[in-house]
Amino acid sequence: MRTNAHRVRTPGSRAGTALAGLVAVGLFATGCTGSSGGTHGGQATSFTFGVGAAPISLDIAKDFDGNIMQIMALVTEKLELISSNGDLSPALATSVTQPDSTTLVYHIRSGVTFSDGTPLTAQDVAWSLQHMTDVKAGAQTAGNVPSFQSAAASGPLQVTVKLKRPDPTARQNLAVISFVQEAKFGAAHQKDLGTAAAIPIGTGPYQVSSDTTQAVSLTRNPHYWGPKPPMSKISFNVITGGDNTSQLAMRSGSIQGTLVANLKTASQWQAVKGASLYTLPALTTTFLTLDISSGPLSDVHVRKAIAYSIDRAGVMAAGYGKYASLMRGLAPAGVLADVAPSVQEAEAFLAALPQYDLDPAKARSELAQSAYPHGFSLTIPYVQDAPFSQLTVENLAQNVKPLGVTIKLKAITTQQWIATIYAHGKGLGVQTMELIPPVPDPGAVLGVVTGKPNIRPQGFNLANWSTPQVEQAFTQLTTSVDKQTRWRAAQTLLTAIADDVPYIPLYDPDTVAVLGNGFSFSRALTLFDLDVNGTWASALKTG
Amino acid sequence: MPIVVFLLKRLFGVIVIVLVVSFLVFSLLALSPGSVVATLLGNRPSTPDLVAALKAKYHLNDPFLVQYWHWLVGVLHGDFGRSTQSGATVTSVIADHLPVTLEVAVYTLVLVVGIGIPAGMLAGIRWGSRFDKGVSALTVFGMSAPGFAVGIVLVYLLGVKVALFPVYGAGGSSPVDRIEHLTLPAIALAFGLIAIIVRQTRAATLNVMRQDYVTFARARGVSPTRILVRYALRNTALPIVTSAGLLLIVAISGAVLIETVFSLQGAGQLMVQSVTAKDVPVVQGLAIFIALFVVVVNLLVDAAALIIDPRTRVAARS
Repeated sequence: MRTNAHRVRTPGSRAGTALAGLVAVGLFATGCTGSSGGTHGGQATSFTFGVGAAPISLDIAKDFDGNIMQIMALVTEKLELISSNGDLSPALATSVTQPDSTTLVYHIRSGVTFSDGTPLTAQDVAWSLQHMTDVKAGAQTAGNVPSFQSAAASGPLQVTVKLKRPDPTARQNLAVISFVQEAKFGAAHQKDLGTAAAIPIGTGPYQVSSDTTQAVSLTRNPHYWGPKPPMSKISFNVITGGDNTSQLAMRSGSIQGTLVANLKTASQWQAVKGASLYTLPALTTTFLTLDISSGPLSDVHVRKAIAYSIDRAGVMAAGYGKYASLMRGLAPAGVLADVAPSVQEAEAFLAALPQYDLDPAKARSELAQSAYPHGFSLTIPYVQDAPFSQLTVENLAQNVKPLGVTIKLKAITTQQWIATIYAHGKGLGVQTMELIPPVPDPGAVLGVVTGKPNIRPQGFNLANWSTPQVEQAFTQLTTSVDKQTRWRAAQTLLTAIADDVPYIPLYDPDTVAVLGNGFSFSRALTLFDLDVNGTWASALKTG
Repeated sequence: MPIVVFLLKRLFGVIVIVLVVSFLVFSLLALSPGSVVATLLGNRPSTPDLVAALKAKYHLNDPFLVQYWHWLVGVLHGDFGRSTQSGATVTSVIADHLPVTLEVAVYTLVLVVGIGIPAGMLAGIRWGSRFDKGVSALTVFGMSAPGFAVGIVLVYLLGVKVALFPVYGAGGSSPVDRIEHLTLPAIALAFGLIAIIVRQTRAATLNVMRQDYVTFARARGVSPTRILVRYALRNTALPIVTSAGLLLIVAISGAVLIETVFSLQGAGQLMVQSVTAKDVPVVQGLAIFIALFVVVVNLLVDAAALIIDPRTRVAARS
């Protein structure tokens, strides 16, 4: 399953459940399976995409999940588009001004109408922003912009957003969650908005023509202001049987696209006649968290010994094949690009950080310097549904045996993992984590796993790690609006993490899409195109 | 009058069962890891305000018994509540998912009864024959093969290789399309159940065919067809009907795996998804429905027994 709108993703989930979030999608072409006009390219005007879980709600405030966003980004447009390096470009907002550090003014595109023919107004935009950030209503998207205070129409086509405090990523986060829908309809259906009885009305290239438990079907919005999308109909059929069933569905011609749920099956997908795999960089961070507050993990030499005992390259190959890269720091270079002078400079900085590749001699040396030279015992949970989690922990357990360290593996469910992480109780020990940043900004990773404010229930500083230097950098990263200051803060945090090892960076797996039966993408895409911007549909081509 | 008393007793039993089931399910959900808030927000960004708002919205700060009481009072007023995930009413959520499960179950039962009973009777009548041995061997295979594995094989052979049936989904609203889509799931689910009903029928037939009254009937020159229908079928009907009722219940519960294999968004999938998400109103609604379904099926089986076997009427009166 694909992740919930790019936040912390359960270790390894790509098939699964609510929390584990990443969704997979599926759908039925014409209300049923099998038949779809898009089969075998050519003059096909319809396209069917398989998703791994049925949408819970088509109102993203109630189901903030990449799966749903992929569908609804085609229906309810956003104010701005966001690229994988954090750049923003116009969508429903033609421009944005920031008169002061706590005010954003959106200038709305004129001549835009909803799919029911109603003109888009500033009130619609303001209502949509309030809806997506409505804490009292429990909007799942509200946590993305905690600095949000209000949104109000300040002109016929102008909306002013007020922030509680300066927030360097507020505009980017709003770009991710600002799905604009018709206010009158939404307000009239507060309780059941997002169900089949009350599907949000948007201005996007498509409108929802049917929503059943088996599939969601979209047809072209005749009132769309932009270029006509290539497909007249796009269906999302629910296929819950995983890669196996999806492959059979593609072989039978009943779907033309899907996401690879388990990257280990990529070779099987390549064997499907006519199928092409597309790598979508996702800026994912997988890592181990080491609770430094008690026990052997409080000793930095123990933590380094652990870091030197993981065959990250081997586990990555086993878990992801060629569709991942090793992390050189606790954030991919793409996440740093927003504040770094360039991606190249970010990559160079990461490469210069202390690295902990598998090295038994160094591991032994580090343990000898610790307060536990003869070893210790530790229980480490792994998430059953997350292959990388199990592989990493098993590999670690095997490699530390010669050092006298006994690691007992404990299988837990995704729900148990979530409960543990969420409670942020004592004795967290070692946990496996996977984060997909909601926006490509270091604050979305480093600002989440560091800092005292994140040492709390629902906080993800699971290492319970803090130093004065780190706190200062954390504050700068999360509150400063100066790019250079934030870059320095990010560097400080990454260096401190590499030195103190409260976290062990692991892998950056890609998202892989498969297209077949005559369909292909006309340009390279990222996960933001697929899950956030809805621009993937315009890249579809046949033949 | 005895029938009225009988029905009243059963009605009282239903109420008790539903109450017990609802309380047990509610308790088990409360005891399972995580919380509604955790499953709603998951690993998404959250703030203390947001967490507090969600706790208030779903009465999570109330004691366990108070939460159950809130739910029970709502149900007594005919309000099963709304899904904590989607906000849709529980009745509409269940109504969206239940038909496909019932359709698969009924389709399965038709296959089980239509294939299993004749095959079992024939095997019982021709005890020791090649047919009997062949059927017995197949039943061993049928009972050993997991339904989901059979499903995957069927999909590959009949969905991809031969392309006779769609490989996933429930199809549209037209009956033909529906039957076409649900054939493979029903066969996969029926595979093991047919084996059970065949064994049951064969044993019952075998027993009946060895009775003196059958021997006398044959001696009197009664035709084989009459012996089969009036003697064998009627006297084997009671255990068969009892088994069929149980198999219908098994078909409902067994649909969970089959629904996964064939990507059917039925009650099984809904239950799994709702339990995972701790969507208490939906889980409670489904649990009550399933409890009622089991009770009703058992009641129908009992009623059928009263009709089929006069001796059971005497027992009921007493």
